[in-house]
Amino acid sequence: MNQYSLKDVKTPKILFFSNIIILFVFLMPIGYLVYRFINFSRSYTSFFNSWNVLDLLGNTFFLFLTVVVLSLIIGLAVSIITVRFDIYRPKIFFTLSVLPLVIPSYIGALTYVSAFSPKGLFVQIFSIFGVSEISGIEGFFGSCVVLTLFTYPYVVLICSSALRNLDSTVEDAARSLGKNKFQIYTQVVIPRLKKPIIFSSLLVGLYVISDFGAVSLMRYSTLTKAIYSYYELKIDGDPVIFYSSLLIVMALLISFVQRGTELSNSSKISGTPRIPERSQLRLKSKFFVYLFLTVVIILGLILPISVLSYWLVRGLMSGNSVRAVFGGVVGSLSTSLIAAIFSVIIATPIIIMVAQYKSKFGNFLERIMLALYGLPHIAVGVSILFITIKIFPGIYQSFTALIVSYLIVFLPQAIGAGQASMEQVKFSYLDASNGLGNSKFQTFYKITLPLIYRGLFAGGALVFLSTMKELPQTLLLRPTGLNTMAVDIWSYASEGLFTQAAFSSFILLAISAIPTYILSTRNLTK
Amino acid sequence: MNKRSTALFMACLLIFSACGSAGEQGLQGERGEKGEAGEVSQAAIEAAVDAALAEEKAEVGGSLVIYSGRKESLVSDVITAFAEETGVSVEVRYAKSAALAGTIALEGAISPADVFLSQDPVSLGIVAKEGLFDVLPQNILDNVPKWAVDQRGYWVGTSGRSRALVVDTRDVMDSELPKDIYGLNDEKFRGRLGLAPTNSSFIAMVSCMIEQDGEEKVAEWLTAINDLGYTEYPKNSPQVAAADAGELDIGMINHYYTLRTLAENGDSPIKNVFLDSGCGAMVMPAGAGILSSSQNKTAAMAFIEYLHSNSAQEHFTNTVFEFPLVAGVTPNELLPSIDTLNSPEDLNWSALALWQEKAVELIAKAGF
Repeated sequence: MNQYSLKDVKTPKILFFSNIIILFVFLMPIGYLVYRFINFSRSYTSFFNSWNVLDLLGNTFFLFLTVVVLSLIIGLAVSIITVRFDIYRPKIFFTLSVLPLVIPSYIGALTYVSAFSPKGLFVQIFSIFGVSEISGIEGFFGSCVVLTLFTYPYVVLICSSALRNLDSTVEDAARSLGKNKFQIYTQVVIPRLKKPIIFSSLLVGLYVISDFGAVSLMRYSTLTKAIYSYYELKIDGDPVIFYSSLLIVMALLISFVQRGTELSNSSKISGTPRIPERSQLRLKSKFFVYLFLTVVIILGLILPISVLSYWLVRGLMSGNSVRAVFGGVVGSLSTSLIAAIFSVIIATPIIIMVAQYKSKFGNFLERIMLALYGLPHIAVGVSILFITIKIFPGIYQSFTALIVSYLIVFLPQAIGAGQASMEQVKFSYLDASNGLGNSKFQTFYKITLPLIYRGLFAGGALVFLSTMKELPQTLLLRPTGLNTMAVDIWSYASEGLFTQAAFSSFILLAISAIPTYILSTRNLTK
Repeated sequence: MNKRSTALFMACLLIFSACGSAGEQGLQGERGEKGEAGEVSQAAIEAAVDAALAEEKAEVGGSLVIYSGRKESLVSDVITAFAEETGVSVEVRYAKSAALAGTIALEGAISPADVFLSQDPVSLGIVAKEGLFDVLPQNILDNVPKWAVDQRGYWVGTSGRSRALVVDTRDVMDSELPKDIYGLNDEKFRGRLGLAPTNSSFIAMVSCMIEQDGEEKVAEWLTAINDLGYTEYPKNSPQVAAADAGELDIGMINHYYTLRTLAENGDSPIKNVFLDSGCGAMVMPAGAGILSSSQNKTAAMAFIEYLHSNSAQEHFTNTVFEFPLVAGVTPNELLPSIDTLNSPEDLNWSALALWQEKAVELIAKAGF
């Protein structure tokens, strides 16, 4: 596609070395876990005998599988309805169904646990209908409900934009062969969405296995919950290292399987793509479609927001004062902003290296960064904790160590967003610029940067959002005295101070809404 | 090529200098030089400024990093009052006692902490076992009864608390209740029990049980309790709230949360039950010790002395509803007399600390 290739141009040394350093820092957490893993003083079988490893692995895997399937079903249904069917104001329904993405799973879980507790809001409201007792929502079921509700928007975001660009000629052909609407979707449309489906299930799957807040609040024993429990009991226990290693292996396996399936390309259809008309719905199906959308939006968005509002209003009316949350806000904003800025600064040389210098090292770097996408936060946090104590005590419990840990987990998001925009930078532009006598830096400044800065900005916004919501790494690594809103909410909730938790949650959601809005106005998959 | 390289080099420099200024030593921080961690030195500068500003009222000055295993809502008032009275600038890291003990053990000489304030003696014993505490002066140890200090003087008690059961009197009759903790292993309690398996005091109780009754009996009991079906809580206080709300019949807790609820609402249908014997009736001190690696020992000592002051002891008994340990401070009227409690006698706290790891393992093994 590109007329010119810079294949033969040598990678500038400084680019090479800065990327080597970045790579080294990024591989350090895994390296340390591997080092500890092979140096265990006890035998591996002793873990299986005394630490419930099989149960935890089974629970984690089962949850992963169930949530991925449920999210795909809900997410695909919402995508198809909002893109292909003639419903009232599809954009509003689309936006409302994507919004639960802003709610961190631990806030979502908190509201569900409380609303459906034996004497919670649900029973109070429905007592007029004779509901007097419910058994509460927790464990596997509770974790599934909450994680599905807060991850299906990933599927909607990714699959709906693919669906919008899907050529409908094949569907027309299928229709002419006598297939009905349902068959067309199951046999033609969904199979052709294979790539976005696999990609979104990867996102959901990685989210589920590294989620810590929801499973803890739902009291469902997964690897992440076990890691934190052991950390709270005895930090230097080998189990913390052992479980973290298992969790990382699981995440890498999931990524690996996903990349494997991506290689088999779906067949391309030649001819002019045709975007289909929205199909009309019969009255009866219309009823079910609206009912479905309403239930999803109520469960994912309205219920959690209502519970938070209820806590806040009830607390304030009964005279609970809302303590100043200034420290948490400052902590969250400063960590998130700095993580976002550094992610962009560090991502830029990597993106340039991978896109413009097709060297072996560039390819290697790209693969590593892809593989590192979605490393479980708590496992990275544990590893950085040990590394800073044992190897770099100078930055132990420092802001630096915390930011490095955030970056290791979130940098791939910035790289992904930047890489997409890099496609606009044609080699011919660079060549022309060189021909005009511009130096490489001038070319970067005048040609590349103006073309990719939007992508980089989107990447920074993603990292900002992720850092705002981040809990386990902050709990493990924060400097003494630094609070974030996520940590505040977590500790208020565990002390039962719900008014306070609700107040902080609202501020967190309000601030998160800004980058989410910016991101949702762009097409992220391009 | 050169200009571009320079720019990228500058970018990298920027990254590392930023890392350096935040962490004092950058990524290549030299190991093992205690007290040079970025946070401490920065705090020291701030403290110096604060001390200079507040000179007329400052008696002690300097800075202090406290690792507190006691909840913020229980101790932050005392810590704030100490900071105001002495002019010491204090930073507190709140987490669970066991987690902080493990953290200090792992940090060793590089620990940023000056004082470890723990909710239970077992966590203190772990730090003592690692040899990371200074021996406290005799006059401080003599402030409190003998049972509430470490035998070697590495830490001192600051307040007393008893293990207890919180009981919802609407659903539980006195005649049902067991004599000791092993009595909870009974079909009639199926699905009615609550506990906080990662709570440091619960682990301390299990350590005590191993010490007194042997590993096998404790493992059996834990498995049996798990089989009976229990409700897991992250801490003690939500068990009391659950019992108050009618969601939980019997919770294994420390005594003071119940009293706190009763003080706020005299009509609450919950009450404490103190068992007749064994580790379920254990009375233990919350306490504090000074880290050997501390660079701020004067301020640390002043803090421990402050915890023994009348105003702090009165706070512990009248606001937190714990047993005061310093002679001359009257226990809150809601408290039973400490002499009526049936704690095992002469518990050796450092021996219990040796069982902590085994306790954690048994709790995990039983499937909690």
